[in-house]
Amino acid sequence: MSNTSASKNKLLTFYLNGTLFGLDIIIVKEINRNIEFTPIPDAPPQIIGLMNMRGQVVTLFDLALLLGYEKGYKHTNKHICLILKNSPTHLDYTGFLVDHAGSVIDINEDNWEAPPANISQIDNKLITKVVKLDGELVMVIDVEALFKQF
Amino acid sequence: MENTEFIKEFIEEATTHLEAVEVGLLKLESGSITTDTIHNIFRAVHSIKGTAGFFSLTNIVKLSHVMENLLGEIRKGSMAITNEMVEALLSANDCLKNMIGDLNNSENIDLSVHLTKMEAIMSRKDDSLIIKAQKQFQTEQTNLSMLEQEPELTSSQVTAIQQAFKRGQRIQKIYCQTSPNETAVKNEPPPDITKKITSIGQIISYFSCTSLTSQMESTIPTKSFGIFLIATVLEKSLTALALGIPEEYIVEQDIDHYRENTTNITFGEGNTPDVPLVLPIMEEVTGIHENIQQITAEETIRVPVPLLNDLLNLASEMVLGRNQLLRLLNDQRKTTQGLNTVLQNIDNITSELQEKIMQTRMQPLARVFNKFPRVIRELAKKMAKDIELQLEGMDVELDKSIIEALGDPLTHLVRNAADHGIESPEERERTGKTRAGTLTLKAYHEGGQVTIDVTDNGRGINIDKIKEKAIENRLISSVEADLMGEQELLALLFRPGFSTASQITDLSGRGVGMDVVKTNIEKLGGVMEIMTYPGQGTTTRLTLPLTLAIIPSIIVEVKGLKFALPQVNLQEMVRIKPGDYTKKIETFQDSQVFRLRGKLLPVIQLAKVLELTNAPLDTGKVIRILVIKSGSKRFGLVVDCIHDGEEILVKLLPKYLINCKCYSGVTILGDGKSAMILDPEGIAVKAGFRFIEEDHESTELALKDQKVISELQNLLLFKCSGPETFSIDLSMVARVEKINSSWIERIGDKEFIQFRNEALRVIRPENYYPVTNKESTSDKLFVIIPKLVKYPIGLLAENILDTIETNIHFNQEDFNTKGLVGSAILNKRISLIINLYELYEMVAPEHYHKDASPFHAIEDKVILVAEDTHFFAKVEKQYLEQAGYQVLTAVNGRQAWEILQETSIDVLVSDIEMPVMNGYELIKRVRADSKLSSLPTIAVTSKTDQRSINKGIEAGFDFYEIKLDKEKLLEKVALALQKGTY
Repeated sequence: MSNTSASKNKLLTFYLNGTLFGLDIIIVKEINRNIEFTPIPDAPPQIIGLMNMRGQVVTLFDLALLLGYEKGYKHTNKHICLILKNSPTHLDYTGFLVDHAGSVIDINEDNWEAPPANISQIDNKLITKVVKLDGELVMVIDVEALFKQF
Repeated sequence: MENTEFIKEFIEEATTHLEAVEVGLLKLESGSITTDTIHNIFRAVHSIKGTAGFFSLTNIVKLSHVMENLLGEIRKGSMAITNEMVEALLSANDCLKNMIGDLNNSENIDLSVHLTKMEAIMSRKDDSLIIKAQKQFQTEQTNLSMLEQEPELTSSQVTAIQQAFKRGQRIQKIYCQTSPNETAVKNEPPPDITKKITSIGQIISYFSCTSLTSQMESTIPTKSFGIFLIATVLEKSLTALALGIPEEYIVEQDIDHYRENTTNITFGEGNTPDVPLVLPIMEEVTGIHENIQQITAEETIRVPVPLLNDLLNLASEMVLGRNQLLRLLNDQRKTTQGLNTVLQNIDNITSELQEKIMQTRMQPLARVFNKFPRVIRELAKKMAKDIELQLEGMDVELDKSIIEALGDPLTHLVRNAADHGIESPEERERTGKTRAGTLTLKAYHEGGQVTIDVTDNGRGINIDKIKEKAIENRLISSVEADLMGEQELLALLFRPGFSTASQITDLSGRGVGMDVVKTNIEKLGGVMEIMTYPGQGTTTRLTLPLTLAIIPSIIVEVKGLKFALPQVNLQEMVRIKPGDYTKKIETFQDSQVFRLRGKLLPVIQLAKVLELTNAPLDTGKVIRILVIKSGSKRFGLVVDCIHDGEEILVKLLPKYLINCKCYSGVTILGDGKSAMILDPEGIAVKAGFRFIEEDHESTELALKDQKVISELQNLLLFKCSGPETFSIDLSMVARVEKINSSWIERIGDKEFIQFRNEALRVIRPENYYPVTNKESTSDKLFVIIPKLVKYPIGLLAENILDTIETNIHFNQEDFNTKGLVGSAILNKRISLIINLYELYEMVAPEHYHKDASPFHAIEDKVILVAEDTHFFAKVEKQYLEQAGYQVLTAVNGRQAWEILQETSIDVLVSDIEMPVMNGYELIKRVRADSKLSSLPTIAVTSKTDQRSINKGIEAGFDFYEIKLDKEKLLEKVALALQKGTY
């Protein structure tokens, strides 16, 4: 287990709609594969459904929709789900489905920049920075802003 | 204040003590003065003081000390209990409550008001009272003397001591405190201590006294002492442990002293304890031995609530686990030997475990009810009313969370009842009631739920005032208001910002409240209803689930999604096969209704409510309807599939879904998937059902619904020789006989059959109407034999098609033919509805014209017919108009009432069963109205049993008549008019 200070600068990356995104690893509780979830009719559109995580109910959000993609999450057979940790202000567990999980990367002082002005397809309110990897960019999602969207 | 753990415990403890103080004080005030009560109060205040001192909470100590002093005076009997005293103590107790609730600020609170008040009371201490009070308490007055003035030991006791020595036992002297009433019988040792001592040794002598007081502060009340002389093998320290008293209270007696001096031992010559016997310590002693008593009696243990919650959660998970296990292993049950037994065992144990754990969270309603004596006392004083509070069902238990959440809503209801409901003593006297109003809080179990009724015998709720106010506040339009029934109008009270108190008082009527109460009750899974009787009182009924956590439910499915429906809300399930005429779903505009045993039930597809589909209900398939009841509302919910019942664990709705009104929570099903729990109330709201209609188009809906809820009519459909369908109201048919056509005998141009040894004339209806008239070819015929007519004539039919129950929607008046009420589409065919009386008049005019004449109409008389069923209204109107009266009609009681207000009416003819306002309500109003009280009234109904008749007469109708009996109706109208002219 990595200690807190080291993980502060670690990102968990994942693919969604073909784009690589990153999320501060400290707020991720776990990644579940092949999960089953229950859609909720009559719920707000950004909510995909609920899943049972060992007796706890997790509300699954459509991250693509929150990020501003018009289409939202493409339903596939194999769901990969990122579950976020809960906090005193967000007691209910939350999570979202991703296309596939990436890896854990470090952020250094010199490998990131503020988001460029032209990422219009997605809501750049949620993107705080862009990490430059070799041949790939990681859009880093602002956790606080994300929670506000819930 | 570092140790938060202890502080927490202190707060918990102190809260219980404060409650005890309050309950005790109220008891004192109500006159039930027992030493026990005063003792309990004193002890509670004292322990607060003690612990607060430990945490150096000086303000709390200061206040509780003064309270204690005052209580001490009361206990000692030097002061009689006065209202003022209780008042001061109560308010001081409240202050303590506040301080304990907010310990950090407790030092900043100004106590001077309470202190001066109580000190002033104490300074008025009247010594003459002492003696009186002391008599009352039966404390010992005589033995205020010295401590050690003890009797000499008898010779047998001395022998006992000597024998004990020989056996190597020790002689110990034990000081213990006893309560005054125990020593009332002098020298009788308190039984509980005696029992303990006899278990470790032998009592040689016992002596009691009440002294010691003189040596201590004057505020410390009289205490009684018992001194035991015992023989035991135990050492001093062990005796102390065994008896649960400090070692200092035991004095080992000098063996040698006794040995040599046995003939001259006086009991008192032992050493008195070195430690001064100050009473505060003595209090503790009492505390300890009381604790021991409690433990042996109840074996209770303090457990933190979060631990119980965890246990409950785990138990719930275990229930789910068991469900999964049962489901998975169901197929193997038969093949694997022994598995069935094990599964059953696990099944039972899990259920029991869960039940027991739930029980740990159950608390008696007394916890909530206990505060009401105080509330009522204050309210009554403030409003100068006389209110008697009755509490019933204090021991009914509910889940802790529900108990806690009930406090505020109940307080609100009680305040409301006291403020709005119960009248002032003067007003009560004027209306012939007792001066004191009664407010009853009654809890009881009913059908797996707990019902709490808050009932007052006050003035009741003024429905008209609600209406007025609602229109004024633009909650409803006046048109809507007229269409609303009593329950609907009462439901307006739950709208935010609604209050009927014309004068805003300090207590209630600020326009907030009932809606909040209702929301809170609904949050608990409860239902709230109001019943009111003008002038007699109001009952607010709360129906609550026993527990929030696990509920039996039924799993249903639509569009492949499973949902859980709480079984409490499920009344029955109906399955309709396509083409099943006896169970039919009918469509009005876009909404569906289902006829369930004669009552119309609004029906909605779950898939539609949840916006899963837009398609109309497919009646070509099997339809499954859940009949749902929520409060007084009932509706049908159409689902695709109904699965098993399951005990589900209710989990709170994630806050992200809080706006989805159709759900009340989430659960995890036996298959491990999560499922939403349906909320019937929310579904009804979303479906836009009338009973909770919010928007302003509702007038239109209401009109539509008015038709829906209007009385149904039973019709018999039959065919004569032609292709036309006839129908006749079933209530006019005595029986239908199957006959052979050869049985018909002709006399002249008339046809007869023999029926019950009498000749019954029969006719062929087709001969009297402009319809196809073929020569009858069939051998088999049916005779429809009417009832409620003087000269029965049978109708011959070739075929009986059906009997249906429906609302008749008459076609345009294209069949304006004599002998017909009209035509309507019934079972998809145009049907001619026969007016039997007119038909008979046509067939046998000789009977009718003659008979009608005695009651021939008195010109210019206006008759109001209140009748919701269009058919009957039409027929009655026809009869009366033919007789020469002027007829006005109203579709329900409310409309009739309005007409009565505006127009001068000579006779009121009213149906009983009507929507919006029924006949009973209408007559109640008529009789209560000064102008209308003597209006002749006739009830017409299809209910012919004696009870209904009596009820109608009791309600105030002058006459009671069967619907559609023309002659009788006319006769009664004539009679009624005669009555009116007297």
